[in-house]
Amino acid sequence: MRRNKTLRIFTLAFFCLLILGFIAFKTGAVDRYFNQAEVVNGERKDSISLGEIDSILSNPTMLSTSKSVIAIDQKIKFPAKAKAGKDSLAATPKK
Amino acid sequence: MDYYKTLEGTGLSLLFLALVFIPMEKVFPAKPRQGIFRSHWVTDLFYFLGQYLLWGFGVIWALSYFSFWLNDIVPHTFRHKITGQPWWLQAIEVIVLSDFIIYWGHRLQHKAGFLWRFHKVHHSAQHLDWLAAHREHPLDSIYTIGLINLPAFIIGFPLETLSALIAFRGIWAIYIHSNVRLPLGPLRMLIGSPELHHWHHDLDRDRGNYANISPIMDIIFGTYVCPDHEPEKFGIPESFPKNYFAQLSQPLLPKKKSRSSEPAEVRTTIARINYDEAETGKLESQLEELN
Repeated sequence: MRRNKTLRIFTLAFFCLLILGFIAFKTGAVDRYFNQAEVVNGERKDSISLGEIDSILSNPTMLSTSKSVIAIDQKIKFPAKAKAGKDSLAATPKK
Repeated sequence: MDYYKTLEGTGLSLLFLALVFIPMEKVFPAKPRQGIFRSHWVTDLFYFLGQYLLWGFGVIWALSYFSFWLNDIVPHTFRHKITGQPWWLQAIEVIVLSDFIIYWGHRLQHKAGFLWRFHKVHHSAQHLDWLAAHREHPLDSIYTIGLINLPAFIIGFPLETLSALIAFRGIWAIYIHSNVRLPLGPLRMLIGSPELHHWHHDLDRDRGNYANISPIMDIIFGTYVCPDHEPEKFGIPESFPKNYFAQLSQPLLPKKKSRSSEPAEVRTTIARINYDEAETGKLESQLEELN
């Protein structure tokens, strides 16, 4: 009985930890995208890709480790595509 | 986006979600007899892969289109005022506005025949778990995501300040479908939980619990349902294809007139009787084997 209770507490703690870690990962990714992009030799280098930002809108549980390199001239065109990401908020499709 | 990276992201997401939800479903099961590889899990895996690898791009396109189209509706000065508010106030505003819109949008999906054709794909799941949460027709996804984001698109809440909320809402939506029973106590009046959402997936199409992140809209509009036990059976009363591709194409095909002349209550009762008979048959065969 006591072992069962320990297992339940451990599982619950594990669940909470992973959920919090996931939220921190996503928040950190968005923060890095908007605030920490580097420009090297005329190219914008991000620690995450535009797809990752898009996924926040369309599929919040998507995990990606991809890095992106966006040429500066493309970046000028970027806001039209990225308006959904930068200027607004989206959430889950599930009900 | 690089397709290889999308594939990697999909694999990582599947692994992560399995790691988060399988232990919970094992330790706190809502239906203890339901296994991880229950029937039709492959169909739900197809939905998961389709959502991550194919349809997500269509949804992104639709969102960008909506955003571009709605961008100039609200004056920029108003948007600046919104973004100047504390993040917690923005979060409350987003939850309340999105939940209000999605509540009525979701009720409409259950009432209007045309919308139900697509939405019933989601309700066709006879077993609920974290994987079944992904069973959704792509056109139904565009409708839902469009609605849930409507206030954000119009008013212009910044993603930077609210990404944590979005991530939480994303994962919570999967949690409420999982085969978990972990009563939240009085908190269940504030935040949705599996015990509430499982009743939404009951055989009865108009059972209730339509709200998204918080059940407050259900409480306000009288559709809150919270019995102290799990529903007997999930799914829809009518017959529905079991195959992924047939399920995707079914809502697009001309409507058949045959069985659906019966009222919904009659079909629900027939489905319950069929289920009881099937369960009795199983028990009888088990008894025979024991004898």
